[in-house]
Amino acid sequence: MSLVEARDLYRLYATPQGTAVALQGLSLDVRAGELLVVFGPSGSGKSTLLRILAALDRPTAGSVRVASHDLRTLRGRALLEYRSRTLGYADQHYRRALAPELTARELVSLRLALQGESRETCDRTAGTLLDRIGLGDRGAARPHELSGGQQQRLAVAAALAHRPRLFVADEPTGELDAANARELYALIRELVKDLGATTVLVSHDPAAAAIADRVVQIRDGRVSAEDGAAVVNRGGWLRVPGLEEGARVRGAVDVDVARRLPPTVDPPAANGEIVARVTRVAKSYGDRRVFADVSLEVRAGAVTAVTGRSGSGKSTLLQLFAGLVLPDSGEVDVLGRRVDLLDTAGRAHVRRDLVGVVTQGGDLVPFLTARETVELALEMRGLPAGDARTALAAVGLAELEGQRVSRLSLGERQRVAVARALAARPPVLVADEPTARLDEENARAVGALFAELSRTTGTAIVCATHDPALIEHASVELPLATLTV
Amino acid sequence: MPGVDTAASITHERRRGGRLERARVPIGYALRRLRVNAPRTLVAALGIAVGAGLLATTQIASTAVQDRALQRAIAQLPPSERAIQAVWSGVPAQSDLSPAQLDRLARATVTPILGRRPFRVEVFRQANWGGAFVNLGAVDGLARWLRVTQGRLPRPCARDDCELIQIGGAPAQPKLRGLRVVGRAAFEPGAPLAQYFGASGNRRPPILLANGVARFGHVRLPDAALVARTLAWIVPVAPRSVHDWQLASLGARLDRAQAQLERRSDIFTIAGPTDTISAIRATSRVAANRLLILGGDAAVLLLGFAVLASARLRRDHREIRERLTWAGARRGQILLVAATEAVAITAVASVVGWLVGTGGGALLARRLGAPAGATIAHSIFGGRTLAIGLSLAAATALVMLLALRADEIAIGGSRITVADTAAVGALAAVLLALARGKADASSLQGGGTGVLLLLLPALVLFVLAVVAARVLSPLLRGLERASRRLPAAPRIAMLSLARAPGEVALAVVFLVLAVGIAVFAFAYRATLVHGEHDQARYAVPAPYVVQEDLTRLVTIQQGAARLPGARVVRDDGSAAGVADFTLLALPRPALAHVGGWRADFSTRSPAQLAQRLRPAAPMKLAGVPVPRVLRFAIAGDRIGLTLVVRNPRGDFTQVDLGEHGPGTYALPTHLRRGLAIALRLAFPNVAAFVADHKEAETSQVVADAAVGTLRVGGGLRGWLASGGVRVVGPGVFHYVVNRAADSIVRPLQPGDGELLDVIASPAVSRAAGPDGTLSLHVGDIVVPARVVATARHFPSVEGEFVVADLPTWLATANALEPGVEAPSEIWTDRRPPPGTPLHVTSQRAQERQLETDPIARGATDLLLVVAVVALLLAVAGLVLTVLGDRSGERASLADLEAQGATPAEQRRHLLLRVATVGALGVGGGVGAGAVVGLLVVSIVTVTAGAQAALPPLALVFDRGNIALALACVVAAAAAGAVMSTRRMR
Repeated sequence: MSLVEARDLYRLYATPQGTAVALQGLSLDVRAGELLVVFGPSGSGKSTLLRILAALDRPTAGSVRVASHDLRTLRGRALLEYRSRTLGYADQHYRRALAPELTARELVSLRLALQGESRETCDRTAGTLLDRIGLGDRGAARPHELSGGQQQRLAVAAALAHRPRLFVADEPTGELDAANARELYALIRELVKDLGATTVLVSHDPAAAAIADRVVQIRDGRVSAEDGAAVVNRGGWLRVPGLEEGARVRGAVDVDVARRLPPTVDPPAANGEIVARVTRVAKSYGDRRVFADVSLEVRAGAVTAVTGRSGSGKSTLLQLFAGLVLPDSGEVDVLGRRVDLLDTAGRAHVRRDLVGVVTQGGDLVPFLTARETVELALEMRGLPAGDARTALAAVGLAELEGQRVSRLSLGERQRVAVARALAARPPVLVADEPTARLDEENARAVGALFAELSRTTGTAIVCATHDPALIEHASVELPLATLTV
Repeated sequence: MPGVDTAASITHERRRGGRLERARVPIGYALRRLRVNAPRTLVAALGIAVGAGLLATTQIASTAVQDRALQRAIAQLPPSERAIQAVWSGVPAQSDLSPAQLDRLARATVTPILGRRPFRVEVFRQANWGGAFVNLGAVDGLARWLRVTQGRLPRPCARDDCELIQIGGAPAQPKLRGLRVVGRAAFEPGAPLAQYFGASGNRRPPILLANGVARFGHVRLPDAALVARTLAWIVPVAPRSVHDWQLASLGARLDRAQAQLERRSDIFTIAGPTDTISAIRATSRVAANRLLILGGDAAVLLLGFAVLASARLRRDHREIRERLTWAGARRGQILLVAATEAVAITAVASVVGWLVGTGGGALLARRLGAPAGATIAHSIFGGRTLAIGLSLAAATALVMLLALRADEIAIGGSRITVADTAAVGALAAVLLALARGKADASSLQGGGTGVLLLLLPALVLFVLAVVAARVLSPLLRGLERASRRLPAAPRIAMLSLARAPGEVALAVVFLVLAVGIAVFAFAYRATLVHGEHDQARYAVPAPYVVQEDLTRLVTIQQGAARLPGARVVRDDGSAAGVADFTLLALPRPALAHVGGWRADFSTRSPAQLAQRLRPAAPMKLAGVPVPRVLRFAIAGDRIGLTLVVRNPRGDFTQVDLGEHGPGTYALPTHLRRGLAIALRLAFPNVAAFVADHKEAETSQVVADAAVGTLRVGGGLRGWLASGGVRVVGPGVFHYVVNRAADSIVRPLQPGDGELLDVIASPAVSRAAGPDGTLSLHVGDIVVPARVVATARHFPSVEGEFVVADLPTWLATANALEPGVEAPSEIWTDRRPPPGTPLHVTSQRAQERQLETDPIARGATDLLLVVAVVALLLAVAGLVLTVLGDRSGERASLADLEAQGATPAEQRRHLLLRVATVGALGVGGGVGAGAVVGLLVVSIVTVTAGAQAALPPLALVFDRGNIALALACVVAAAAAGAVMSTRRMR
């Protein structure tokens, strides 16, 4: 019996450019207790479907029922009941879901407490779930005291504590590294199966398919392929049900897909001169030791991908190169300048003159337009502002150059950050998860751009990433754990 | 999974959690948030605490001011009016109650009124005691009320030996056994005994007093029981013995005491200065009500800070709302989080602020000389004030809650906020209140409209602040456009302000409020202080003003003939269409340089006004040197003659020449010097009396008249006649004189047939005809006058007035009614010699009295406190803005830092934002303060001392102090901002 029944769903939006169609007659059934994974490129309608299932949006046409609830007409107390009792929701922005003032135990039991459950019930449930997610001894910790992966596990546990009938997850591993992502997927499967919850999980990550009972592909606002049909993987690989994991099948692929994905660019060679290095650096934050005795050399014209688990210190390492933090010990050298010996202003000048920084896009100045963001960076470096447009076009944002950053999606903001770095053409470029919020197509495009930049300008690029699309374009992949002397 | 039921096993029926549990979670969450975010919360609470403290201080100051005003007024009362007294008068033998019973009854009744025991007085009717006609009596505690001038105080009486002390009169010694006088004394100035013994002096019988009424009662006096006497039980109401907050019950206690006494004896009366004190209280209430201005401002500041503080928390609450919605919270639970935060912050801050404000108020009360503890107990811990405080705290919490949760609505493409709606309501209230008139002393006494008007400044400030918020966006966009060619740092700062005004608008609004209140407080304070100066100089327009002392009946010509200065006539008059006016006649040079003048009194200067009064020809009273002997002849009926002579010192002597029938006479005038200006003919007195009697007893009109011819010689030969007298030849006058007419023979005066040129007040000017002429009724004369200029006010005059040139007036008035008009005042620079038997008023003393008035001091002190506190809050608001910016701009600053912006550049970005906000807020605040200052001065027409303002207050902007204060604010805010941004890495 289906818990979720969607029939001919349409969702239209009015935009300045005209009417946009997010869903075009999508029909989908999800059986009770099933774990459905939904794949699809950016703009395919996955998030819209999820928002409708979460009763955050209503379809323009069509019908959608979850259990006994008709989501088209759900209002008032019924809507509240649906969200509070029937539905569990988790997305990649776990920080938003976790109140910073509450402890892990309180966060897990929050929903139950709000429903008026007794303290004993809340404590018991929270304790059990915390044990299940490996945070049994961290019940008194507040979110900022946990790693990214731990926080995401906590958010998932909090979303499931009330035993919802439908669990909806939107890119739950979006901000996690591959190892943490796999762990999270496994946890999700374990929990929802134990609870008997029906699950709809949206992801870019092919690894999600491993836990699915069924996989559907959405494209252009409707289901394009369901479980049993071929799913296109990176690099033209197919996943054929029934075959063992790891086996490769070479054969004809959907021309459409092949044309859509940008071709892989050969990574640049890693044989240039050393332009930046960290030597035996150690860093701690309070009592927490991030890493110790790490050394790394970065060469001109090469793309270096630093990988590792969330919380392993990849971002910190990049910040050391950029002079945004100082090591507790060790040396940081960028083009002959001892960055660790400079004052704050000196390090700022290093960033201005030598090191470009690509953030994850969430920290862009919100009131500037995309073009102004890039132009400001160029102006700060004394470069002509004309290159801004070219850079934005290169990342596919030519049409949005006049849009304020605050109105761009997270993925678009991330591309602005990349464009800014590309336009500046610094000798050294550090990029922290530059493709974390991008779909596969855009991620590959960014990877290609980085490779191209390195090759043509000799920029040394250091990326902290877990994205295979980016790693593919790297000259060298270095797990952080291997950098410890 | 152990401990967790599967979804399939759950029945999905509604879990009935307790309501208490559902409420506990959001409340606990809110309190946790407050604890975790204590620093941010603290700043918000601080501002609210300051506002609450200011309110508490205002309330206490108001009560202290009222009390001090009462004490001062009581101290100025005559001692006899400043006592509560139970009085029994009668003959003891006729009384049902014995003296002891009377005493017990009176004490039991009077003592509870003020909680103090009375002292007794016994006074016998004036009688002959042992050959001495004296006022005999006894007083308890005699030493307290007398000052011994000779001998000693008497000891308490024994049965056969009673010592007495004499006050006033020739020495008296009753020849009665057992009575002897042992000394002489005078009453102390504060003794409340005047009504029993009167003013002692040589014409009153001497007063003989024994020490102690009880012992005196044992003395054997002949027929004492049959002698009428007065017994009084007196409780002096000394200043500080009764306070303002006790007055309401004082009248009721007096009434109860009266009823109690009357039940036992209808001869008893009880009296107290309740009417006087009620009148004093009304005045002091004006002062207290006027402080509502400051109370209203404090409330606006409080609410404004609450909104500003909420802005910082609002971003959090959007996230909380989202987060809790996803956690399945109900709308009420989400609201409970915000409400708990708002109530907790407001409650704690209000209590702390109230307590601190109480401390401040106590200090202020002590400075004013009021008892701090009692003042506090009867002000802020009174029911009404507590209710106001609680209401305001509730309103603040509500405002915070609304600010945290309020959504905008779009109307016609414009986004309308809660603040806009409130501002429209406030504007409507402002217009309505303005239409209802001024807040003068009488309307402030009664409350109602006058009191409502006092809240106008706060409402106007609020409206201005919201307008500022609305104007801000286009202004910032303009600044951004103007900055496009500037370097990156200022350009980015302007961009950030123009494109995301958000909390900046609130910061500007708050600054407009805070700086506006501060500027208003400084300006209004300066206006009141300057107003006292104007008031003193207006009331006493020269360093000294000497006037006749009506109790001594000494004219200025008699008492200060040699004192230099301007002579001035002051009289009362009326005209058609004008109920009454004051006539003031002074020399033109004195008018040209009159003290107390202000430029807004008239469009013409005093010198120009004096020029307008210049007569065509010198106006000097005409007459002939007074003859030593006046020769005249009468042919006809008997008439009375009086020669009117103007003395060299300026007054007049009416020389009564008596009543004469037919005959020739040569009568001495007994005057050596002077100017004879008129000869008055009068109907004989006896005949007038008989005629009056006839008319009174019958309904007949008696039309008797004296008819005849009068011949006079000497200089009177060329004189004119009026009032039934006509000239038949040089020095020959035919008369028909009766009781009705004023028959006068006089020389031609320079003002005859001329209009008197006057300067008049607007109402008098309006009453004049199109040619400016009107008839002035002054005393018994009617003077035709012409208004040549108008002035709104004239120093020393309250109400409508007419000002004339002194010589012209004297000539005109004394021509119509010879000998009635002479100067009654001297305006002089020179201090009159000591002992001058005239009433002397000093301008400096007047100023000093106004300056030391406790009401005035209380008002000006409190205004200073409000100004300083408002400025401190402005600084706090700016620092809050910086902190908020640091937090709000954190992500942007992090990105700028990542792109290579140095800490100095980041600081510059923040400081530029703050500087822009500060400049706009301070500028707007100065403007708002000026507007409110003008409004208050125009509608609140009372002085610092809560009296009617004469002249009206004129706004003094006090540029110096305001500039200095704002400079300090800017410096402090800049320092705070720099310190706040210093720790940026």
